[in-house]
Amino acid sequence: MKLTKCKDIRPKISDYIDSALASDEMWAVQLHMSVCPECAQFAASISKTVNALKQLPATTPSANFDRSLASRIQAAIAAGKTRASAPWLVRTCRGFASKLSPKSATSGTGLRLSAPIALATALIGVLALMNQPNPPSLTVAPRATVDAGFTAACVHQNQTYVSGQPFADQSALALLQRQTDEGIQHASNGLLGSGKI
Amino acid sequence: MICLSKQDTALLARCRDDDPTAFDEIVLRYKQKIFQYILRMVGDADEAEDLTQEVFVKTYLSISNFRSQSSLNTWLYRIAGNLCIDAHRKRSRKDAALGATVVSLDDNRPDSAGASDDSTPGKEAPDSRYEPYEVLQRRELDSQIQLALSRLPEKMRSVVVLHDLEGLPYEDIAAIVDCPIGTVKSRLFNARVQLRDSLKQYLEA
Repeated sequence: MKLTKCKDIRPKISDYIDSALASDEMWAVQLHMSVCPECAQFAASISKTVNALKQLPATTPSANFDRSLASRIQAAIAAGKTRASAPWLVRTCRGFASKLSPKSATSGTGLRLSAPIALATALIGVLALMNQPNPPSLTVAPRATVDAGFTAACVHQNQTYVSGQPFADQSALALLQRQTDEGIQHASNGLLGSGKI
Repeated sequence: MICLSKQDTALLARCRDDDPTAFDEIVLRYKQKIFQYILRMVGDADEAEDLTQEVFVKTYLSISNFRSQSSLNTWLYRIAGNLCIDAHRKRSRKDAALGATVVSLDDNRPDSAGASDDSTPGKEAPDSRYEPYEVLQRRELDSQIQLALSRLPEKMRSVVVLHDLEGLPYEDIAAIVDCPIGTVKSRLFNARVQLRDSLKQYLEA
């Protein structure tokens, strides 16, 4: 144990006064002070300061402290800050939080805040829905009905294509031929009229 | 200390079971300590009383969340310390807005009767504390101590008040101010040195 220099001893003097040093350190400080009047003087002045602090008179709160405190607690309860009004909520949130994330639940602060917020948000959402005069319906509206005849015609046409008879429907073939003839006639008229042929 | 902790544990258990008398016992047991600590931190008796009540309101509201990882004592001091820091910040903002530095002193202390054992053992008369000059001198010193405390940085003040006035051990202080014991020791040493320098002329007189 080498505590022979003043700069080593000074920081220990506070602990020395409190008898908070190990016995060998206590002895070393004492030994140093016996040969160093500056450090001894320093220790004495610190000790005097500590004694002055300890002699500060004890003070007590006023006589109506308890009554006033009771009023404040009641006011806090009335303001909804109470533990009494919703201890179940705190417990529920805590349980909910620990189920969500055991790691976070043990580490604490974040989840302690986030779980109540999540629960409160959910509650507000449910209450808002309940208070709506016309709550939105969750049933699906039927789509517009499709002409059953058109559907049947499509099915029939599809079957004719699949069976390798694209023009099995004679009426459709006649219609197609008529449109083609008219188209050719119309095109010829156009070309002749323009004098290109 | 262990006995006290056991009592606190029992009190907390009763609080959680909604025993209405348990919280009263907590207040009865701790109000003076907490008040004293806050008074030395803020320097004003009215503000100290207000903050002490706030400590117990907060305690009441959150006692079901207390997980007994620290002692009730430590928990209460920690709440008190945080409130003192908040109050100090508010005051600083207010002072900055006013453009003035206000140092409040505690002038409302009761007489020093029963405050300590005979502090002047060398004196013949045991009632010297009550002589007008002695009383005035002691009051002047008390005011200067409070002034010197208020000039300390918040962190140093907290440690020196908790150790030298409240008599808490290093371990408890470390838990309250949330720093290692070595830091507590160095803050205490520096605080004592600064106080010694501030009070030099009064202590040597």
